[in-house]
Amino acid sequence: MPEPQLRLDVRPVAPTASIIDIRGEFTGGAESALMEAYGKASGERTRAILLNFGGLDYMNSSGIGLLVTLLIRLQRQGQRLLAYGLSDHYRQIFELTRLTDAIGVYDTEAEALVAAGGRGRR
Amino acid sequence: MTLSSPTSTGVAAAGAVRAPWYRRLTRTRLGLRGRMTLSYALTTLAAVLVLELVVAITVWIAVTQTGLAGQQILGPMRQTAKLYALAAAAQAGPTALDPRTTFAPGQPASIAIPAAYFPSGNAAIRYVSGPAADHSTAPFALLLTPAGRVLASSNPTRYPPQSSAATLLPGRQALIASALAGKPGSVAGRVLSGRPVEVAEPVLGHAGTVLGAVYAQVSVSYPANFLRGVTGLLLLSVVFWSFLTLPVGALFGRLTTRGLVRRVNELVTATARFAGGDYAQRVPVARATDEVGQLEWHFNQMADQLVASMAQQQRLVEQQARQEERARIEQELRTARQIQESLLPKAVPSLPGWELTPSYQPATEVGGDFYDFIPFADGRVGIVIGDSSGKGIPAALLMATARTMLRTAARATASPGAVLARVNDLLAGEIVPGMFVTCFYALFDPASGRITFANAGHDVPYRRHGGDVAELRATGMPLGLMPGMRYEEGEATLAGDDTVLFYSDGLVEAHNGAREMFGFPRLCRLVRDAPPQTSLIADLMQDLAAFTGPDWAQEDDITLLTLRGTAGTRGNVGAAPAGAAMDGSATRTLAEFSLPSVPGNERVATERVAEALRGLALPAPRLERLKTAVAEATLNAMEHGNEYRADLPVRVRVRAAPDVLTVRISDEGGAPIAEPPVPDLAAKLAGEQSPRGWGLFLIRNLVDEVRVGGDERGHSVELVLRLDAAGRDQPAPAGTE
Repeated sequence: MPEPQLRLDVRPVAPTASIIDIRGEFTGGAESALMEAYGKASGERTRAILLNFGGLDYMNSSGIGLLVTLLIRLQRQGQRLLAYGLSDHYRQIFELTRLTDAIGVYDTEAEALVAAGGRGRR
Repeated sequence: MTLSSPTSTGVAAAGAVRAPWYRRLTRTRLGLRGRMTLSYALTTLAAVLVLELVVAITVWIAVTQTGLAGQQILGPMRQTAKLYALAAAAQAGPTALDPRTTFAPGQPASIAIPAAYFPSGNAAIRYVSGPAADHSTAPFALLLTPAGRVLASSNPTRYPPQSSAATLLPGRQALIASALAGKPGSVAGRVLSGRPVEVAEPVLGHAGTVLGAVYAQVSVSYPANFLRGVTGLLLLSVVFWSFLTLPVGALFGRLTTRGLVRRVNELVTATARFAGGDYAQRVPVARATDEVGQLEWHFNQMADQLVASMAQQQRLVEQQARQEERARIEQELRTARQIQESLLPKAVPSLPGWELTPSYQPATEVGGDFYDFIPFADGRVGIVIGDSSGKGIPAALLMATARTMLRTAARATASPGAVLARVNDLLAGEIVPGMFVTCFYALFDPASGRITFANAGHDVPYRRHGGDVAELRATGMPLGLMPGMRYEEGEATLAGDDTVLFYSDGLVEAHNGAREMFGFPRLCRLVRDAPPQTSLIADLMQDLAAFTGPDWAQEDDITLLTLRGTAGTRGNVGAAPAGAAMDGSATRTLAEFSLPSVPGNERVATERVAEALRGLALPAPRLERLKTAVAEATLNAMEHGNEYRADLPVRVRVRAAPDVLTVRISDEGGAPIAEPPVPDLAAKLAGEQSPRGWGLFLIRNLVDEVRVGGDERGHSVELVLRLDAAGRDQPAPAGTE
């Protein structure tokens, strides 16, 4: 039986934005780790959190529930959530669940950072 | 010089006027019962004293005012005189008294008599030597000759021998003469008259001849010790009776006042509790005839009336409060409605070839619906329909804010998506968390029939084109939930006979008496089937009335807005509903296995299913979706069906027919589980739904069909993939196809 494995790393990339690199399995068991990572990533001036799904092996419905929980927290802080590095499959799942309405989804870190930087929107 | 402070004494005098000690004693130490007991005891004592006084007076009168005292001494006196007479006779000669006879004891022929002779022992009678108060009452005795001469005298100084008795005792001749004649006699004097007790006794010889007589007198003025004795006895009696009667009186007082005092105490307690707010206090009426009984009865009457009066007062106050509250609510409702209605467009823009018809039916409590038309110089018109969360004034204010922002943003940009994104960013910083506005914004060009639109979580409009109905679908989050949202833009070109229905959720969420919802399918059907010549809005409202019945209480605002072409055809956009397919035959079982319900095994299940399907050469995205569906179904089976009990297996069976692939996942869970509500991200973000609950939704959207079943062992979920439906590799949100 495979052990659930997840690694979350926080990278502050700008005064107002931080990246959380997600590697492994993103399931409901990741809640405390994710909230801890968010606590590290979020400062007073943070306006955006970027989730890097480039290392994601597996995400299930409770992982999606976890993202909604994170969204609610960010919403209270007036922060935005962005994501990049999603595989086509998980991108489809994001669209299916309409998470794309609330999470800005980008292909690359650079694009996501531009979007997080502020005005670079259509 | 010493100055005394006048205020200090003044304050002391004014501050505490001290009652006399007896008042304080009876007021503070003794209760009612104590005082009544004391009163009984004192009354008893007073009665005893009065009785004693009566006895004392009676005794005094009897002793001093009657001849009783004299009579009392008379007996012994006569006895004494008789003894003297006998003694004198014994010493006398045969015919005459012995001339040597004296009253001096120890002398020859003395007639002194020893004290032993007096049977009563009353020494006071030994008058012969007793003291004399005065000559008339001084006790003395005389022995007289038959001639009436003194032979012997106990008081020779006063009554010398040989003197004549008649001379010495002028008032006693009769008594003396009687005695000398042989008859004894006596006079009993009274104390207050001053008369002594006198006796005269003949001295008789052997032959019965009278030899002489003895005369004796004694004062009856009582000896002082006798009176002292009587007084002492009386005092003793007073003390004795007092000691005896005081406790008896007190006991009697306590016993007889016990019931009364208990009742008074009950009244006191009840009154105090009543005054303290316990209005249920009543006292039992023991005897309505006595005063305490009447007091009890009146207390109960007063309590009843007070309670009734207070209840009446309370009712009045509550009634008034209710009226005020109702008035306030009504005022608030009026205000909210005024705000809302004042912001709705007063006029509908006239569009060549097109007809815009709004209908707004507010609920009793304003629901926050709004619509707006924003005309542009180039002939285009912005059409807005929206609904703010909440009800009443907050909803009306939020709607007003959103409407103003929309107008401003619509002037600044031509892109509906950008308009909504701008308003969303503005609102997100303004409104309280959890509040939001859903809104559909369309920019319509009546010249070309082109309509571009964006949606912020609002119910998507229906477009009727020919005999079909399609949605003007675009996705986006409600306004104000969180900043930085993007809004998808959609676009269509309307034909001249098309009708677009914009609506609010008040219509589709209306319930009838059986708690059934009006619902989207019904609305969709009605839009499709409504005759083109009649007013769609009137038809819908009629259908709604038929659905809800006459007693319907409208829960939410109902806003309907139609855009109807009145000219010929310009363009064409269709909607194609998904068809149904049938299972094939010649089914093969590709894999069948079971796994313990242990976290993580859902991935084992997906890998084994994927392995079993290797020969089918499914397109990779399709396989990925099936794997996710298998993982979710296995998770559900382990978690909800088997509750993660490792001893309960999840069974997986993979079968393939030429045209269909099924993966059945079964658990041991017994009764079927109620399906969770369809997840809605906006509702989840607003806290109206749990963040979780995506599993079944994902499963349903990742495969072509889901069959939920079960038997006595547990339930099962069958995932169906149609092998000839390879074109559906890109699942899109329902309705955009």
